[in-house]
Amino acid sequence: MSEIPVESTAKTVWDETGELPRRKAAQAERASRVRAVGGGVLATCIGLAMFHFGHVRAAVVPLVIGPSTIVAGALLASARFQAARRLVDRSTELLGTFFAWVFLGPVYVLVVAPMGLVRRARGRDALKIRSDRATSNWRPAELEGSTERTF
Amino acid sequence: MRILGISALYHDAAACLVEDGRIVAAAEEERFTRRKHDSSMPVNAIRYCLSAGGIGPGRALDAVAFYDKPLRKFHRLLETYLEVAPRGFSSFAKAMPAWFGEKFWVEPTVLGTLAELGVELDRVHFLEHHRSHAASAFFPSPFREAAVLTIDGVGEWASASLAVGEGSSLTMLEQQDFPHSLGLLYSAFTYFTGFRVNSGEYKLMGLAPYGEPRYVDTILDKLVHLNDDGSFRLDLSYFGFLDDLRMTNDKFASLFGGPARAPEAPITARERDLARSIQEVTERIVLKMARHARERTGKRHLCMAGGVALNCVANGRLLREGVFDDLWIQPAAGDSGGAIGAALGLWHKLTETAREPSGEDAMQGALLGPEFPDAQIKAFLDHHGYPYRTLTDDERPGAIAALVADEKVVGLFQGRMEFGPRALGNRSIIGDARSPRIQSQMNLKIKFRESFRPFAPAVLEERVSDYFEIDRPSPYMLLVAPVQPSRRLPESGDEHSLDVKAWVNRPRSDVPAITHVDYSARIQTVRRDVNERFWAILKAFEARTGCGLVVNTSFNVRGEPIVCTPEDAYRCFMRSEIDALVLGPYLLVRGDQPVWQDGPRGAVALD
Repeated sequence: MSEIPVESTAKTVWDETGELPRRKAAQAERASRVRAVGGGVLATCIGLAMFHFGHVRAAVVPLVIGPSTIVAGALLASARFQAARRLVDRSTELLGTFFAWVFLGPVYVLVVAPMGLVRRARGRDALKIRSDRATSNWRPAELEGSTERTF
Repeated sequence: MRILGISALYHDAAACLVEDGRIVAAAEEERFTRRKHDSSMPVNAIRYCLSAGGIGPGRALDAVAFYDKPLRKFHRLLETYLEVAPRGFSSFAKAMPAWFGEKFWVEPTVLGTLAELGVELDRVHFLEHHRSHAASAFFPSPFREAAVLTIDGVGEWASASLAVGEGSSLTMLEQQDFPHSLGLLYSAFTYFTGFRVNSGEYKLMGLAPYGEPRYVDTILDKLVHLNDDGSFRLDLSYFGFLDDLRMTNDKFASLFGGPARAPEAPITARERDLARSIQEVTERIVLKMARHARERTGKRHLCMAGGVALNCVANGRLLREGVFDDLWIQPAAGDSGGAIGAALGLWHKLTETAREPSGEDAMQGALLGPEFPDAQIKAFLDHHGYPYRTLTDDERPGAIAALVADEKVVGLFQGRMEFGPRALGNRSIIGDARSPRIQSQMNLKIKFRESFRPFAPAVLEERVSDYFEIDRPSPYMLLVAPVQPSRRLPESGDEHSLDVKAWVNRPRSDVPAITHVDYSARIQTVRRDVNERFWAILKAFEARTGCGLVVNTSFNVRGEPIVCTPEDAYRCFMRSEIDALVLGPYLLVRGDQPVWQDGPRGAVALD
């Protein structure tokens, strides 16, 4: 227990002159620029590699997104370029989706989907989607785990 | 013992500081970053809470509590993908980067954030999501014993839970699991009627009285298998949230006669009827769950939390049906309130201190956020050269009341910022509830929001029964009650054939601005010892006009979080058509201000 009464020290008046929110915003903007340019360069390289190895049609996607992200990221240096900011946001989102599909597609196809199909064939119904309707869908609460664990 | 509670990474990130069982400070991150429903790690809210508690050199933080168990949540996600495979790749590809990017690393992120702020801890405590909600509902409540019902979209596995609170103990009894979720069902209809999930639910609730409940049977026959104890099973073949990025699918659309309404498209009778129908179904489910809670626990009082507990229409009905003697709802019932629950839950668990409720709740009117001293406000105004008039404490309530009585719309910025989704008088826009034009003016020219949406009254607690059919306080705007019949104007009978805009502009009572089309109102009662400054304004307005209530809506425009700082308030004032702004003791009138360069609305996106 604290030996100091709350009332004696509790400070509710907040001094917003601390620069943290603005500094964080500036850091976030810098990080977004770095991400945009870095992601753009990576996408361009992947596109060039795909082009080199003959996947001409597929290479169009990274070759369009990549350079436009680099340009938009570079333009972000000025706060006046709201349109560039939106373009960067959209492009990084598209890049993220592109990379997620490239890297996670094989995982899903080779691991998740077969495992799921096997489990379903064995009759597992973890979400109780297919099982018979019950008179109650309440169940005993999960035992309280240790607060020191994340599961 | 000082405990920091954190909720983050899904929506409405927030932080809260509890010291010796008392809530010292709480704030949502969105207020500082100005991004609505900001889900990022609440660095600014943490910083504020630590500052409010004087945490720093010589005054340590003892523990930090996070409001859910990330790995248990990930397990549920994984089970879902295995269940729906080979479908579900688009959702999988969207979710996984977020998990590997941040959600797996909650502990190092939190500890790193605290270290940056000069606070060294070696561990984060994790509480289950619904335990955090239940703790946020029970521990600050005025009840010594109560049943506790939490209902939301989903936590780890649970979508609803039933617990019993006795003194300082909180025992979780039962839960209903994902994907059978009332929160997700309501959100599915929110999505289908063209509103944004996790933010447009209250719009759907506001739209409901304009419609007829003609889809209730369809919903209960096809979508929901409802049991007598309030538990239910959804027919997942109609929903998209398991395996897609949409909440509903084509089968759902076929059931309700066509595709989902596009955002911002005109609202048709179908959307109105869907809103009314899902509201009716929601109320039935909540009532059955509450009856089950009463039977299961035998307690006379009920505490509630979780996003569904923000459905104040259902709450009002629950109160009127008399299932429990009394009801207390956590004002920040959504995920932001999880920060309070995590901190209070951990404090009670670690200290096992006896809990002695005083008969009042422990939320302090939800006024838990930052406040700004007069000198700081004055410095801001002087620095920018904004013209203002200084009001003395004596003349302030009367001056504001005079403006409101003159049908002026006033932005009110005073004292500590509210915690939770409602502005309760310290970051509010107020207007004259007797004026027939105020609702339309405030919706369209000030808040820039949909014309159908109702406004809430803030009423002197001692006069609430003069205006509304309710016999108890509702300090957090979480109960809806009918306007007294003696104050109503008769309906003409053709209302349902009108379009929403024409209907909303018809006066329905002698306080038309706060009377919804079904004669209901979402009430906030104001008491002197909770918020004296706001109470004084209402009292002055009553002395001038005889009317003991005003319109109270949050100080923001559509798509923007409620204002936090004097600068936010001034910007919002100038971007909208608010007539006057009160910043602490300083009164600013629109006509005196320099031309605002940013133009109306600025760069705020629609919600």
